[in-house]
Amino acid sequence: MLIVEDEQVLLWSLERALEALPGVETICCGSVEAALAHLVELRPGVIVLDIHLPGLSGIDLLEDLAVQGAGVPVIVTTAYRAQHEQALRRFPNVEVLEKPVPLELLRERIQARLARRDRVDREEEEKDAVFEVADYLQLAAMTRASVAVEVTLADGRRGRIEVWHGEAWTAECGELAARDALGELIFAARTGMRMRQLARPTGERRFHHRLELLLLEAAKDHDEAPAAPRAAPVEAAASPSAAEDFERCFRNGLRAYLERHLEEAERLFCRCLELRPDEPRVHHNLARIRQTRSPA
Amino acid sequence: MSVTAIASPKGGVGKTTLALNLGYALARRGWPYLVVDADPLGGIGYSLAPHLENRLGLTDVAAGRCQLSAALLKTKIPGFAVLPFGSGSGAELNAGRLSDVFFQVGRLGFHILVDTPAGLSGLTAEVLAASDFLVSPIQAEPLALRMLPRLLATLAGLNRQGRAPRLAALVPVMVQSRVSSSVAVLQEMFRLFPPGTVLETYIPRDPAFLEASGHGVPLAQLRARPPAVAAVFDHLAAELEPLLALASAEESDEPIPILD
Repeated sequence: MLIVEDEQVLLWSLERALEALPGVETICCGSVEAALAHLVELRPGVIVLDIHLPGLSGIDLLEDLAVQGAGVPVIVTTAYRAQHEQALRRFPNVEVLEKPVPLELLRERIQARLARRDRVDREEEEKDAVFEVADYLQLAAMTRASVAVEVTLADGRRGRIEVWHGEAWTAECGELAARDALGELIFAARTGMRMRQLARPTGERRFHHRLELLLLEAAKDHDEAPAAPRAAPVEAAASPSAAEDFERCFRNGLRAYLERHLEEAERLFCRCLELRPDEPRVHHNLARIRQTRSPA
Repeated sequence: MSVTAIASPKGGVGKTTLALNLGYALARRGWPYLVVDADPLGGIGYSLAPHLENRLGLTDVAAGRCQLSAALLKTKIPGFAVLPFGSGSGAELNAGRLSDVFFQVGRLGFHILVDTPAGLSGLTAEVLAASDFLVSPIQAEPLALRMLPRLLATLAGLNRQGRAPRLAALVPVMVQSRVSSSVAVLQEMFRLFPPGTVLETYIPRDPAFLEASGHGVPLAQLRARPPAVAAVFDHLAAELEPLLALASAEESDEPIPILD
């Protein structure tokens, strides 16, 4: 939660009263400029905002949030409600409380806002996704969009991939970062995914290749990771051309899979199985493709 | 000069109507536009000039059977012209030849909107490979949403070869604002795609489209006082302008006084 208030005494009392709320971390700012700096890195669940502030006003911050399409709920606290009524009406997701605000009322409204946001997030994430994570990334690249793709994995971990003006920028997932995180977020079983507009990247650029190449590398990393203990392929040792055939089929299969030519990908991986019936990477990919083609 | 393909994975979504009316609206905003008909069924040619059969056009210029100037149809609207499909079968067209024709058009000072056949393979893929931007009309119905991964796969394939146009925008079409399932699909499109990809402007389902098509005119030319839906394309043109990189260095961005 972000609190923007320039009266220091009030700010401290708000901080003390609100940080006791379960699961809420509080960040305090004395100006809109400071709040904007925090918003680069933070995605607050709710903002408590004063209107009359030194420098930019609370209305300016609301306009910035509207331009970014941030959709974050805002609770405006002001002693001049009537004066700002018309201006505030332009912004959705804004609730106005007149100062002095009873702390109990403020706590109750914040909890209601956070609960509603969690519910909407959950409902949106639980909807059937039309696209895979890799598709979303390619879409963002093709439209030169600046977005954050947020993914919830089946094991409860959450991760985030940022694309800035169509270029892959950063990825993080728990303790994983960059390429490792990208592979995990694209290929691990997930329960939810959503895309948000990105006002600015939250960190240094970690990727320096085209997204297509990164996706292919992530697919290779992922497929080769569990393959370490596998037995040496007898056929490959006996016949170098069979090994080359296998590698070529496997590589083309991955490429077809990434481009969603699922029939072609399945055909190529079946050919791989003929060459190496026990290859776990191929079984793994075939299972994924068949699951994608008929999720039931 | 920029080339914008109007293409969609699904047929019958109003690509021809969109190309014709959008081209007209962009020309009225001061951008010279040529609408190229790359559909062998010749929707634009038939729509505008139904009496002219076997007219020269894109296929003839591409195959070197005639000069561009002989095939180009000028209209009464300043800065708005049309290049029909022509007398060929379409076998003459590939990305290289299309690029050559587009280059010639560019030398005449026009930007280009290309109307494509239904689907994304064959001729449409060649047009996409020769285009800078893609504007895709998406029908506000569930089936259209499920077909979007096809569009994505085609663009990814072209991207791999370094030939993909930039996906400038998805335009919701045939929207029925009083039908809840249609509105639900529209909301779903906003949720699914990167912000800004699905345009705020949508094309409603309206009988005036049929009427205009029957008369072979853009909606705004249907009558002296055109139907309200004609204004949608002005809105669409204004929203697309920055997405199609249409900007003039000389133009002032200041308010224009209404009094001397």
